[in-house]
Amino acid sequence: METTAHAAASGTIQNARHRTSALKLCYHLAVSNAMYLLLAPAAAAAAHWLSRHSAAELAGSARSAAAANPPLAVALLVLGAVLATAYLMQRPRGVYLVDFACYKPGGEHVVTRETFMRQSEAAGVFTGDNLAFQRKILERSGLGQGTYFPKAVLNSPPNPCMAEARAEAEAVMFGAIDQVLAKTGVRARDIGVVVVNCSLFNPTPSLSAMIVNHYKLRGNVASYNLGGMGCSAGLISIDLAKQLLQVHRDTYALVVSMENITLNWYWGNNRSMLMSNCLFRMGGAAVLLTNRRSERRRAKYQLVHTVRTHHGADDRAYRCVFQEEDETGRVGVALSKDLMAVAGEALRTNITTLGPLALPMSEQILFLASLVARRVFGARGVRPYIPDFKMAFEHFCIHAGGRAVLDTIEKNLGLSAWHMEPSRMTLYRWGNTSSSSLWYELAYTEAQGRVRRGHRAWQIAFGSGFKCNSAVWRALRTIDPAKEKPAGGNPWVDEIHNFPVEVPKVESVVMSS
Amino acid sequence: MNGGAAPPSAAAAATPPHRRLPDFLQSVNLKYVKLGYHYLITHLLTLMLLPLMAVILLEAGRTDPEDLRQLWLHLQYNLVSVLVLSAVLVFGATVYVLTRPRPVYLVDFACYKPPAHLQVRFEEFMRHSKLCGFSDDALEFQRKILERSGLSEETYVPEAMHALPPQPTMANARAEAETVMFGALDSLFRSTGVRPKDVGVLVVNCSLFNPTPSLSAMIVNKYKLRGNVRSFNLGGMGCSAGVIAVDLARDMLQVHRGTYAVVVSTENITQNWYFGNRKSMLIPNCLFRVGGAAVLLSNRGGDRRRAKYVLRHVVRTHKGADDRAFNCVYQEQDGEGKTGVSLSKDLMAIAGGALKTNITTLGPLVLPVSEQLLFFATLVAKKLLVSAKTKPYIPDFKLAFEHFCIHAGGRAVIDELEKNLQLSPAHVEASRMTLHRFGNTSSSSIWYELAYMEAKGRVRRGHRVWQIAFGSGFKCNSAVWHALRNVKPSPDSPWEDCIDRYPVELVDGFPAHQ
Repeated sequence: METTAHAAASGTIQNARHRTSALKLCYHLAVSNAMYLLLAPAAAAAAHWLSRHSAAELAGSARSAAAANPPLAVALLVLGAVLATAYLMQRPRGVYLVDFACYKPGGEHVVTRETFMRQSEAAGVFTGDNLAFQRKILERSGLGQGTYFPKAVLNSPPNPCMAEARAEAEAVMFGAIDQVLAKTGVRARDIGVVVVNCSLFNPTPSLSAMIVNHYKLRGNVASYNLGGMGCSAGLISIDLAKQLLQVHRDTYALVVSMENITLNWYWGNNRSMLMSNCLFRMGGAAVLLTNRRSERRRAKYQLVHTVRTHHGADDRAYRCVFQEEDETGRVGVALSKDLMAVAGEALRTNITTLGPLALPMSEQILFLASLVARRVFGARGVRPYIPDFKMAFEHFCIHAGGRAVLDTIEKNLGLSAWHMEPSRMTLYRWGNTSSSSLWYELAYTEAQGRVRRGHRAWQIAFGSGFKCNSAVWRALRTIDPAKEKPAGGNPWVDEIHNFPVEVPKVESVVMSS
Repeated sequence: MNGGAAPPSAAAAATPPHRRLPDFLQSVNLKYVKLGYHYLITHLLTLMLLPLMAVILLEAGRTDPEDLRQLWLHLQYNLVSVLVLSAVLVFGATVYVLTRPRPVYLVDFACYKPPAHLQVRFEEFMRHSKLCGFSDDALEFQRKILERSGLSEETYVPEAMHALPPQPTMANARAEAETVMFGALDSLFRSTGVRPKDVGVLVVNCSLFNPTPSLSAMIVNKYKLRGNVRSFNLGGMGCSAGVIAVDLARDMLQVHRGTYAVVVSTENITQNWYFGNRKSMLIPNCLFRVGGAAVLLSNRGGDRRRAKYVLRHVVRTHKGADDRAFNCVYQEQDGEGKTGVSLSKDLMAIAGGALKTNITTLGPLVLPVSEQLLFFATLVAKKLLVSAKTKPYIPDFKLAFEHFCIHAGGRAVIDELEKNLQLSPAHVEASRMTLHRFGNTSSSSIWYELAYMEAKGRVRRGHRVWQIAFGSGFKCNSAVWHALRNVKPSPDSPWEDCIDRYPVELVDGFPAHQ
């Protein structure tokens, strides 16, 4: 009897949801096409009026009006010319993503969770309690058995040093750049802008100078090396490249996003600093952008919006990801318990800014109505309306910062498991590759054949400071996974048939004794 | 990091004469001349319009009212052609106005002046070094460098280095960064009256210290900058990154209208002191000192009234494609695993090559036509008369600029530039005095130099200032500023209480009267 009642209730809920969705869909279609609905009668009226006058009559009327008052005619024409020219010139130049490549390390870099635990134990610096803590984190992390570490950390004993850190950086950067240049056929000397971001490894000469040296870029290249800007710096680099492409005409911008593990492994026992060891993994991406219109034909995406929001003015936000020394003088990155709350607030600010730019009018009206209602009636009784971003975007690339981050965003944005799949599979297969994880996610979406012409992809990332950055891309063509495979650069294409996989909430790490 | 060079005697002993800064016009590369003239072509429209305007003005002066009436009648009978011509003219004018780069004004800048207790006398420097465990060879080497460096005993090292034993912790490095950046920014906001929340762009450059969160985030946090500020933190880009930061801010101000950009240039000594014994890595210890600058740029038309300068040109040249250039300033670990920045013996030759490229590009933008013609004619003559010993013509940059801010990388760098650009001692005085009083503050040294000239009352309306810096990678970057008024020094200028003592005369790096 209880079972029957429960089933009935469940059915009722499902029916209610279905009706709501149907209503919303009709509403969305009506509002989206409102302009056409309003313009149709006007167009009909105009057509009717025109049919009663011949073309010759209209031309004659215009000519006589102009002749009657030449200064006015000239002034109007001048004004029209100025406005038209100003409009054309002021429009931002289109920024196209020609292609991108993600680095896939070789098999010698693979780190299973058992390997991780074995290396941690062998290091001899972690207490028993903290080894247990790390195992617990690993079991719940959502990372699989195929993520990658640099050699210096995997060696026995580990040998982190600056030369090894440079070697890691070179392998990742050059691996990704080689692929994107080979794939696009763009010559290194045609690149006019280089932006590299890496948060934790900033040697002198910079990573950007390493690229200039390796690829023999031309002497007037505008190169920038962004350091210390956190996991969301990949989108800061994209934003910077976009703005530089407004100033530098007819050129290519190479954006390289990466992180470096070698010198940033934490060798102490402060728990808030140990989480990084469990989550961060080796990886990087190279993205080729351009403002050349001729590239539009073969470009994959056009960059539609970038939104950057910085919460550094708030002390709690500023301190929730903080690199410092522990009591014994070892440097690590401490994550505070406020992290999820701060991320939630940062997300809210970012989507409040992005919403009016990207959401369909129907969603904006609902959001605004909800906002007004809350103001008028107070917070009582009126739940805040969360815009349905599935109406604005087909694909979501949420920075794979960790399982908790993905869970929080999935819930807060009302996304489905299908929408979250690229992020979850990237976390599983590659770990947290920091600023480049967004590109592994987009590559997954492509490899699964989901990207079709006109689709919009939203990349969103959080980073120290605290920042929440987004970018919106529109696909200019349908991406055929079969064509991506021989071209290279997509780290998923050889193994995409293995995904998606079900990732349990807790997956035991089996230790051999 | 450009740490300057070994002293002349050591350089002469260690390297043959051909290693010195080359006679740089011998191998001028036509590719760069072409690049320079490319920049010239981009300004060609303006040049072509000038004669046309002159002709129109002359013609207008000879027109009487009757002619005007006749002209008007003709226009009325050719209405269509008048309209078309008007549209074309308007279109052209609009395109010209909109494609012209927006002026970027330097409202003010501030340099950080550390407290007196951070000053380091040579004897103290040597005593501390001895206690830190440097070898006798290393100690003797550092003493020689110090004595010939051109630095006085009034330069500043961070608190952490004054402690015995030194305390190069990340917390102390952060403290140094905060003190320097906030000191300069407090002064800047005070002198300009600009509110932090009006700042729309923030660019911070620091080569050797890039913590997470970044230095730019530290500033956002301290001054509560607004949430949509566009902040950039440039790391690892060397001593010339100050000009790179200005270039980036300028580009941002082309895209974002009606806003301010703050540029902060600094370096951090605390965690970058070298505690090993490799000589090529010891030089930075002797030259690099605490310092930093904050610069307020604006593209608001209303700021022209109070701005000190307008930014005319930025030229960046990157020689990283050449392996020798890339490796001549290199951060690495020595045999004992100690991290330092190694300076190679090629440094001066590389710097000369980079300077040559930069001025070849900059020349057509700033030199008077007379100098350009002479330079180009000499170049052509050398090509045509291959066997002739045509003396290379060095453009006279004194005709293009009144003031020179040459990055105080070291005495040898300043010496070589003085000689090869045929500058007078007066032209390099600001650089030498900055090196003497503040040491090599890396990317911010060009601002201490400009502050020196302002404090001396030398910058007058219409004067042109050339800032030039070298940096790891290898890069040579320059910026050209145009003074909009007779410039008074900022409040809190680092030279405020001591400008009367300068210039001091230096003989082979030693003060003449000590």
